Amino acid sequence: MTGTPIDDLDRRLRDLRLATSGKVRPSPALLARVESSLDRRTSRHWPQALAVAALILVVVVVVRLQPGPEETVATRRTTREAFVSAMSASCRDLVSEWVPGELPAVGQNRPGPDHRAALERFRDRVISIPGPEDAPDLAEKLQRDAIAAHSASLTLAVSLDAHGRPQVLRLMWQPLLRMSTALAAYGVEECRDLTVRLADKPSPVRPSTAP
Amino acid sequence: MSADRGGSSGPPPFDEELIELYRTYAADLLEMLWVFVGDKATAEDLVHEAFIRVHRAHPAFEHGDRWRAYLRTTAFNLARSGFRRQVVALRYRQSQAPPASSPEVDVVLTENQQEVARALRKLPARQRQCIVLRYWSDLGDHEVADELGISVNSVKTHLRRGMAGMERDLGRWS
Repeated sequence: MTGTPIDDLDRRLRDLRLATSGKVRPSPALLARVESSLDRRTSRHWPQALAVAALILVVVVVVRLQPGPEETVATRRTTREAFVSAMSASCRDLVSEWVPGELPAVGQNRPGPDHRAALERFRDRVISIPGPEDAPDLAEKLQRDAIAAHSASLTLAVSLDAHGRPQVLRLMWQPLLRMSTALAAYGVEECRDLTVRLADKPSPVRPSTAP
Repeated sequence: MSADRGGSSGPPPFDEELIELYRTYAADLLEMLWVFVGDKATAEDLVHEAFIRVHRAHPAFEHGDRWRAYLRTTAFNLARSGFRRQVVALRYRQSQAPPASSPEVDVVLTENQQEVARALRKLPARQRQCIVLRYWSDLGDHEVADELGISVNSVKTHLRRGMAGMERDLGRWS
């Protein structure tokens, strides 16, 4: 008499189990391997030692990377006030280098021929200013305190550099608008370094085509 | 061997317990894993790794059946998670020599039994695991469900599908 296929399979599985029972024995080497591994894990204090050494190394590196008193503060993270102050000073310096005739008039949206030479002088100049730790209203202060006070006709074009930091690409001639929106959009308050760079040529002056 | 370890202070109690568990349970675990993976060397690697992981995960250890289940679960999870594919590379990295034993085992199977073993190893891992736990660990549906962390109905489904798959495979060749 035969049962169902499943009954038959059940019987064959039990038969297989009986056939293997006690026949698969660990090799002596396996116990040695386990014990050896336990020894290594039990006696290992090297992870703790390694962790301590790594911590010491990190501390040493951090300390050595700290700028000394004679070094520029540019790599330090600063407060908002320090950032705004530094930004203001840099903008003042920039503007002060422009001779009066080079400065565009308020509301002048396009540089004139006399302004191009000045812009060329400022091309590729990079100013690194430490970013603030907290500056939710940085752009507003920047606009009000730093730039607007000195040149109402300058606007910074902001972009992100390769490291995701906001980067001022160029000074434009348009009136100073939307600074707060631009800087806030790029998370200025989170950046460490704000790079001001006059990298691009200004909008080309269309030569007169009049005969 | 244990007395040699740890110098005068002796091995920690945890290690002693684990070695004792090895002595009482490694053979059963190895047998199950051999049925599951079909290769003794791989099964031994799985047993080894399972014991090491238990040791690593549990600083407090008390001998008991709970640890058998934990070892089983760990070993089967390793087997199902691709540990077998890593074993070859692992052996090259290990400072110890590969297991001295031959991959063959002392089991002499009839052709009929070999067919069943082959059909079993063709099943999906979960179905295979349920069948191995049922037949080689004598676990009931609820115990298998507890060990696998799945419902009893899922266990029944895996068993039913696994048995049906084996039946189809065996019927094809009989």
